Amino acid sequence: MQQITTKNLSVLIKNRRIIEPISLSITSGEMVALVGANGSGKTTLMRAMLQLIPHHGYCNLSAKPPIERAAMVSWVSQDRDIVWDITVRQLLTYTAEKRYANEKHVTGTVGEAVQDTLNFCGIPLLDNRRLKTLSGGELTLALIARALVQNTPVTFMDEPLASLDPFQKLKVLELMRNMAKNGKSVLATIHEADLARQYFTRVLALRNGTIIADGKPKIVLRKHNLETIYGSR
Amino acid sequence: MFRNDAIIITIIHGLVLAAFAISLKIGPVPVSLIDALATVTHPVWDTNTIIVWDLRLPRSVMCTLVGGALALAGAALQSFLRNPLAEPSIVGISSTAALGAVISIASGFHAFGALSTPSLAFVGGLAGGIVLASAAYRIKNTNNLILVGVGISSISGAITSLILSLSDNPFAINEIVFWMLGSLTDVSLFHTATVAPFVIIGGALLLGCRRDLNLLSLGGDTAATIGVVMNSLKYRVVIGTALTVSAVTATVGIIGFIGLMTPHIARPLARNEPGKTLAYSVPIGALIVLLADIAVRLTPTVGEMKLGVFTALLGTPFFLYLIKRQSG
Repeated sequence: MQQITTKNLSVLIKNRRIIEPISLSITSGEMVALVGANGSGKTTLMRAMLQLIPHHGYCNLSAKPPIERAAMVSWVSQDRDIVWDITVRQLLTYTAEKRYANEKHVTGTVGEAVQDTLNFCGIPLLDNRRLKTLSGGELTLALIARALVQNTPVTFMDEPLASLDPFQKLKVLELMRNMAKNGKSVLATIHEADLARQYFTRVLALRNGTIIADGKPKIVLRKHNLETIYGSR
Repeated sequence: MFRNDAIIITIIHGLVLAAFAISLKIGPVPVSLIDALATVTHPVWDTNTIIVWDLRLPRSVMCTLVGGALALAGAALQSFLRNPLAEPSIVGISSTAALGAVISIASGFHAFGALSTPSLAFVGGLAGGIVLASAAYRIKNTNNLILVGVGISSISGAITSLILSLSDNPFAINEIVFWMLGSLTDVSLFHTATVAPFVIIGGALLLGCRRDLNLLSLGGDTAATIGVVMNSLKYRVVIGTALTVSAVTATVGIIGFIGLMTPHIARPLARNEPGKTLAYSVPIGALIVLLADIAVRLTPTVGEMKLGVFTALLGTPFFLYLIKRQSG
């Protein structure tokens, strides 16, 4: 089932085309890696699809009101700027409360939804930890849990593996794989070609705002293609 | 967690009630606490009743309104701008309200009645709020919104200084300076009745933003993907702040530091939750202003010390202490 669809979606910033017209769709249970060199437009493409920046062309999320969009796709931002040092449980509770206020057919309580999500993410012991005391990997897991408690069929993640050690990266990837097994779709920007080959079901390669390859990781991320994807602009 | 909240709220409100009662007692003419409370509950037409009803009760009610309003606006701005240094004066609303008052006094408009200066000050504050709201429409980055506020504050401060320097009326200059120092000396029940609706409407608007401000903990973009309509939130915060701060500043002048300081006291009690910080800031702000006003009345100075001066004198070292404690 197609969850997110774009047709000729493009982004123009200060008269410069950052994203060339892109048509793509993401279906249920897919684990899609968005790869490309720094500045290739990965984050901009995600932000345009999330309706966080103006764009041209069609995206099935565009016409939906914010509440309906929030029920379709969640977002794990690369921004880790914590101003108020709340606990992991508080972080999840705010999102769960919003969801329960907006959705008509929800089961259980906010507290149960938060606890189930913490358990699913393997971080039940972090519930009363303050965000500023978490390690990079723990914070990433908490932020993914925050997105998961939103209970959307699709989750976008911007550089979820950035600044994590190899063990933490595997933990995050295992969590993403479990999400996909539960029918959720994941679109994540990552730089690690070897991990993308191992864990993801599909790779979108972006270069200068254009998708230059879309397919199975083992084919798209062959060694001789990496030069084209990550090579000089 | 719920029980702890109930205990904290009960204690704070108990302290506010106690401070309110004591503020009815304190003044140049001694009135016992029991007599003061009796005149409020069973007014009999005697000297005590006149003192309490005409002088002390309006002042205590105004303290509660001013403290609650400034603290709430400060907490809302800090949460919305995700900046612990934000406060009503930093976004320019206090200074445009002051400019309105200065124009009223310098032009002689204040001679038209007791409400003439507060009216112009209120118009000034709202004008500042409208400029800020229209800038907010175009600006996405909240840091830039603070810069616009600083700009509004600077230009209104410059015009205020220009009016002061060009005024050839020493009485007007004197009145302007005293007004700007902030005081609750001459407030009446009529003033409190005029201010209260704006504080209640603006306060309700701000308190209604609590859930969205919680979601803003992770930044505007993440909040937007959870269903927060950022433009709507921006307008509610700006309009709520403009209504509450303009109304109180128009009546009592500039009372500094309450909007900045109170959320920092409320936040640890609210376990850093932005929405709860708003709710806790209201009674804590009221308590601080009530206590400050009692202290002003008890301080042995020749004339009564201005409340705005007192809050700044006490607020600055306390604020520096808070910063030191929070930075470990």
